[in-house]
Amino acid sequence: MLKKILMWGSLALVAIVFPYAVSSYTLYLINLSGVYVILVIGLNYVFGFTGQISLAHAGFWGLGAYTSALLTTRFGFSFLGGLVISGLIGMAAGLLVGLPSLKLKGFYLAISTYAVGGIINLVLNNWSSVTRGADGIPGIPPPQIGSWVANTGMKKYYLMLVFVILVVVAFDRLKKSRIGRGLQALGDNEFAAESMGINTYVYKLIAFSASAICAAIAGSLFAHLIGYTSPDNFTSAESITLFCMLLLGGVRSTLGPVIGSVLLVLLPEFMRFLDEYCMLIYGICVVILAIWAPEGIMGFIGNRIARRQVAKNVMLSSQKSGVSECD
Amino acid sequence: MTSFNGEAILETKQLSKRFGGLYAVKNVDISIRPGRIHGLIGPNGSGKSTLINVITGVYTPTAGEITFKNEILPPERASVRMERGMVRTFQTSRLFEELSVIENVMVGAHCRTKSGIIPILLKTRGVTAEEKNVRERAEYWLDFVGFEGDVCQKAKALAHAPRRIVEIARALISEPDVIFLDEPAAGMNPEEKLCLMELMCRIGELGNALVAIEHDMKVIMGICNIISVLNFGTKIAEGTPTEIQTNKAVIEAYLGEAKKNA
Ligand SMILES: Nc1ncnc2c1ncn2[C@@H]1O[C@H](COP(=O)(O)OP(=O)(O)OP(=O)(O)O)[C@@H](O)[C@H]1O
Ligand SMILES: [Mg+2]
Repeated sequence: MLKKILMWGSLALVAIVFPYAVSSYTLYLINLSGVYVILVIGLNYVFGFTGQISLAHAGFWGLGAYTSALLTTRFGFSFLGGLVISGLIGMAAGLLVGLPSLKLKGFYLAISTYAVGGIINLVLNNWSSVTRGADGIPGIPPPQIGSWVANTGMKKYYLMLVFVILVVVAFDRLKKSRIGRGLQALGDNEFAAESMGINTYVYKLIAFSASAICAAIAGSLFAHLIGYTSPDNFTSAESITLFCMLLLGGVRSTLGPVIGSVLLVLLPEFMRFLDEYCMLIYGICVVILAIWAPEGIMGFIGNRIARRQVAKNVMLSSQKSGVSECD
Repeated sequence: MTSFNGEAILETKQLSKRFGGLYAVKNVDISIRPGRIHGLIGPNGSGKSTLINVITGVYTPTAGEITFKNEILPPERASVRMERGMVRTFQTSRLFEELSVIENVMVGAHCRTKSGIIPILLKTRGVTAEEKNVRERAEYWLDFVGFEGDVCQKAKALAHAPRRIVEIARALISEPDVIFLDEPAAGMNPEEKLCLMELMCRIGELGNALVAIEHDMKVIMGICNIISVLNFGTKIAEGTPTEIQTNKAVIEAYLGEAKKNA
């Protein structure tokens, strides 16, 4: 217990003091990776839990960003108002895109969601009267809550921190609940899940909408963080990047998306001096990970811990313990 | 559990299932009573698994009706059938590989719990209490089926026999009225089979109905109160183990095959 308090205390301290220790550019990158954390956690609901491949994720992200951008610049909505409506529109879009997943699987679902992502991007590019097309929407105000305006990198950092923590905690709670188990059961064996009382239609739609809500909220935060949105930010290539982050960090884990996103946003920047070799090294790293840690970084760590746990349990197996808490 | 003393809790009437031109199940009348172990046997491909799949809602029947707890069942999802109180295991084990053993069993209690998304996100006291209760029940049923080992390990790490009994625990936790086991003893060694027979007897004593498909005659003849025999999708015989062992049609169905093969 004391160990836990100490661990969380020191983590909190690092998180609070952290922005004072880094350059403003690094802080900007960290804030950006916060957006990616929320996006990748969203992907974790649909791909991590239920194993459905959604390549519409960047589309939902763009939808959220443009909804917030338009609501605040044109219709005088507040930051939080825009954020909530973005989330709702994301949910509706997620439900809609989730519908084909009731019939389609694997490759076919991937293609159809890829198409949806592409269509959203096309609309952003070509519906110029509303989205201003390729010019994008400039002049999006910084996040403001009441009279508090997050107009510096530092303030934006704390705001992002709060949102990231909320999304991470929500994910963790769902994961350890009956609903999270239902989603994971569906991902592991759809037939058995249905026979064990889980309505797989409903659960697929839950996964898609939860995932799209996260993406839309990330979009809204992104718009206010950067102050500018353009269709280029939300291409289907971004959807693939999000998959890389999730696979790198560890599918289904709570902290995997955090690690994966932060690493993949920061690493390319730190490897800039390598110029074109950067992508080469990046590629090699991905291959190495795929071979040695196919379950991602958190999966790799988890397996290590599990192995140690087994050894410990074998030693203790004579005295049977009470309620089991597996973590 | 509803009590249906001596009366049938589940009945099928002229139940049929056709795949293309092939009747996998044809005009089957079967009556399942609580407190009994009902064996379902027949040569390979005789329609045993299909019968269970039709009853539990995996397939919609081509014809016929199913009465459960005095109600004629409409066509509905397998998850709804499970909620009504019929649960099954699978011919090939279907655990949730990435979930831990205890989580696998807890999934079985899904339809008996009701925490919604908002209370879960807020982690209300009700949610915490329900979660604790389900975990304890899962431990109880794992104990009941005789699972030994780490309940926190992932299901994919389990050996064959433990997998089968974890599946049974996952089914039992939902407090079913009827439980179907599809070839539970397949692939087990004699020792494990003995444990399983003993477990099946204990499940029979719980008061619910147990239906077991099995190829191992020692298992079937040893524990069943009544046996139904399928051949080419139709029921060719029904009776006590002794009656079945001496039934001509049954011997013909099993040995007839052997003759043809010889
Ligand atoms: N989904 C399906 N589509 C087409 N045919 C099927 C399907 N399921 C089963 N069948 C056919 O129906 C017949 C009955 O199969 P079923 O699996 O019910 O037999 P079984 O008695 O369980 O056999 P076993 O002892 O080998 O498990 C077989 O001929 C099988 O090929
Ligand atoms: Mg079968």
